[in-house]
Order: sequence, then C-alpha cells, then structure tokens
Amino acid sequence: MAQEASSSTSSKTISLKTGDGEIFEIEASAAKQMKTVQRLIDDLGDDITIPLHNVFSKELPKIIEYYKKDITGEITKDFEAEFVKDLNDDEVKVLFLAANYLDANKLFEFLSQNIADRLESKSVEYVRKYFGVENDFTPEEESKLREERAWSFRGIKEDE
Amino acid sequence: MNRLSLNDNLALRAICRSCRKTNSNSIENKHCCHLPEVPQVFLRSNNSRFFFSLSERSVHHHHHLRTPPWRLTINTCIGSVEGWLIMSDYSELGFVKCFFLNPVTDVRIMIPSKLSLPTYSSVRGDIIPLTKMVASSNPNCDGSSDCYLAGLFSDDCHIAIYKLFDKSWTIVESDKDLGSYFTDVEIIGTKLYVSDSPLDSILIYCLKDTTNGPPKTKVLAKFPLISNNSFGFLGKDEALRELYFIFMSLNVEPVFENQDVIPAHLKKISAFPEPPQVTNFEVFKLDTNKDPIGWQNVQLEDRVAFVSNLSNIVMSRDELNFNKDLVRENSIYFAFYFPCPTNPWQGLQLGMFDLTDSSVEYFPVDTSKDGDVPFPKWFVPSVW
Repeated sequence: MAQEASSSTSSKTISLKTGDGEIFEIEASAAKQMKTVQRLIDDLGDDITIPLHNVFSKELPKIIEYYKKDITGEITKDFEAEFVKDLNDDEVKVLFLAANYLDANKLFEFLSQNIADRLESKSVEYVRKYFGVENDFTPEEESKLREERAWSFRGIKEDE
Repeated sequence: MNRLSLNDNLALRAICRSCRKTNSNSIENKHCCHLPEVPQVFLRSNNSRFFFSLSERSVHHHHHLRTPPWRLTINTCIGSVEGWLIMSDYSELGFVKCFFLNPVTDVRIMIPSKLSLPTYSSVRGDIIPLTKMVASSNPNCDGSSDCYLAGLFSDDCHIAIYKLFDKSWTIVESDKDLGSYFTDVEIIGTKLYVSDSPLDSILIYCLKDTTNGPPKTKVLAKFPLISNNSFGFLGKDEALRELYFIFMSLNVEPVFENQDVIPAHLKKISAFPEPPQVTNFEVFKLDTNKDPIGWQNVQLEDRVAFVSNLSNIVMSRDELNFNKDLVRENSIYFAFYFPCPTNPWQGLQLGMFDLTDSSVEYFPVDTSKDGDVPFPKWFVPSVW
C-alpha cells in the first residue's frame, strides 16, 4: 500500500476547471509552478477540481503545454520561439493575462519579453490599438510629447 | 518597462495619461528603467547643439534644445555621468553654479552650493574657469548613496571637491614646490584620482577626508611607459570600479601656447597646423594587486571604451544588452575636437579604433558647418 501511495504521488494529477466549464488535468509538479493554483490546492486540498474563473479553455492547454516542458527541463529558445510563432497579438495578450492571474512567473516573464519584442519601435498609435487604449491628451500635450520622442533615433517601424 | 528601449519607453509615456503617470512614478521611485542605451556624443558650441548616435551613425537635432536652460550661452557642459550632463553657469561674477541636466527629460538637479572661483592673481583678478568635472555617480536626492564631484580648473593648480548637498566646496591646491600640476581627474566611489603630468604620477585623494579641510594626497603610481606625443585620458569602468589610463597618438604635432611664464611641459595646446589623424591607442588598467601598484597594458577584449576630452567610459558590451551588436568589442570609440584654424570643422573627429588590428574608422558628421565647432562629450541617454 505504501509503495502504491508513493508512485501515485509522483504521477499525481490535479484537475483544473476553466471559466467556461472545461476540465483539464495537469501533473502536480507542473501545477506547483503556478502559485495561484498551489494556493488553491493548499486551501482546498488536491482531491477536488480547482476552479480557475479567469482562465479559459482556449489558453489553459497552452499553459499546461509550457509547464509540461518546464518540469522536464525542455524549455529552450527554439521551443519558446515555436510556442508563440503562430499566436496573434490578441492571443499573446490573453495568455499573458492568464499567466499573471495564475502567478506563473516563468511564463509571465517569457510573454512579457515577447510583448516587448512585438512592440519594439512601433508607433504610439499601434501601441494604443494593441492595448485598447484611448488617447486622452490634448493637442498641445501631444505636441510636447512628440518633442520628447525626438530621442527615438531608431526610427519607427511601419504599422502592420 | 525594463524590457523596453529608451525609445519605446518614451512611446509608452505618449499613449495616454494613465500610462504616462505609471511611467513617471516608476522613474521617480527608480522602480525600473529601460534597457541600457549605447553612449551618444553630445556636441555643443555657442550656436549649435546636436547629438551623434552610434545606432544610426548620424547627427540629430532636437527642438527642445533651443529652450532654456540650453539657450543660455553662459552655460557650459563640463562633464557627464551616465545619463546626466554636468553644467556650469557663470552668470554671477566670481562664482560658478553647477547643475546636473538630463537632456532626455530636461530635469535639472541644482547643486545648492555655489563655487567661489580662484583668480590668477589678486591684482589681475581674472577668474579661473572649470575645464572638466567628474562625478562618482548619478545625482540622487534620496540619500541612498553619496555623490561626489571633482572639478579641474584651467590653471591646472586647483581642484574643487564637493559632496552633493553639502554646504560648501573644498579646494585642493597643487604643491607647486614639488612642481605638481593637475592635468586630469576621475572619481571612483570615494576615491579621487588625479593625473599629474610634470610628476608623471597618479595622485589619490580620499574624498571622505574632507570634513576637516582639504583631503591629503598620496602618490599612487607612476605613469606607464608610453611613447612621446601621446595624450593621456583617465577613464573608469564604473561597474568593476577599475581605473584606466588611455593614451592616444596622433600623426601631427600640435603648436603650444606661447606664454613665457609657463614651464614648457605645462603649456597647453594652441592649435594643430593641419587636422590630425589618430594613429594609435594604448590602454592601461591600474593593477592594485601589484606591489608597488602599477599599470597593466591591456586589450579591452569584450569591453569597449568611449573616449573624449571630458568623459571617458569603459564598459562591458554585455551591459548594453540588446544593443551590444552596435559596438565592436576591443574597440575605442573616440570623439575629440582638435583646434585647427586652417580647417576648423575637420578638427571635429568622431570614430572608432579597433585595438585588435589597429584600424581606424571615422564617422561622418553631416551637419551644417556654420559657426563654432562644437565640443564633443560622451553620455548615456537615460530617463534617470
């Protein structure tokens, strides 16, 4: 009986339920990397399905995929490049917000860098559109801000 | 924000008021800064102010440089430390007021104590201006660390020392009986290093010792053996707290000032008969592990140096992060003005010397060649 217990611990899985009602299984060691999940396990126990109201079925599989690689030490630059290759800007943003909610630090840091790379040398208008933000500066304020941006020697990439 | 370049950081400030406020708070609280930038050359004369960027290999003029305090011709840039220029204001007779200026944000940090200028003689009364000022660190107003300043006067006999926000400056005079004259200064931490050309020595002062009058000096090391007709500049690697002495050789000998009262070895360069070309650089690093302390002739390897009359920086290319490919390893990026009456603008020389193969590449300074030739100095653009 003791042997069974230890082998079940090493491959123990946790059930996660997304905000849209789908259930996914994740290894306990991968779940540990997400501090929000770990806190819920500590509070609720690991025998019940952990509810994740702010994470949905579109992004949770990607997050699980990332941490499956992480616990086996297989996160490489090539893997990370491939991981985001086919994600559009909105998908990266949603994943980023999910990683923030889950307190999944490694994924959060990686996606922060990816977003910074996507915004590199982009126009102010592009960045506003990316974050869904309205311009609330007066024309005079905008003119002054343009002077500040005169330091942007690299030039601005054309918006896609 | 700490993953963004300066350029993108400034773009973030322009998105909306909330983003600007978040960004400003982050800067004020020194919470996080943008990625490090490659040093740029700031060029200023009475009627021109512009920057040379290594990333674009071109000059840039900024509209806001035409507004005060830049417009005041009595302000002179006498040094730089990281993202700050050190400015001197001679508007009050007999005194100089210094301040730090961040050219990106236009923020000024005034040095509260004005400096009383020494004079050449009590009869003649001509003030002796500052020619160069160095600082131990960025100015900071939160008291987290001390910021020391040291200014070299044009007579080579006086240095003014100040700890930021102290009540007054301390003046150190050279020992003329020993034939001592100060020719360059650099600060690392609380140590002031002074090159004394007549004595061929580096002097050291402990800046913490200024509470009861001027600090005592000690000869730290003799100059390294170098070829004649080399010009030496003190520089530092701030990250590793290492002192460098960088020597530059030119292919043209200068003409010196014709003043009989000044000893030959102290005469200042008056002009070059024709625009000189850089022929060689040698780099020496102070080796404090040796006994006696001495200099090591070194290659920079993965480091890079930025050298000018007023500021000399040595840094690892790794510090430049994503910008590191913009600068070549084991190289010296130089920016000098050599006074050359026959062809003044040819005396402004920006370029790169590769220590690996001793090759030189000059950068074109494409700007209207009107008015005085500006004096170049390196600084690292930053929002703080």
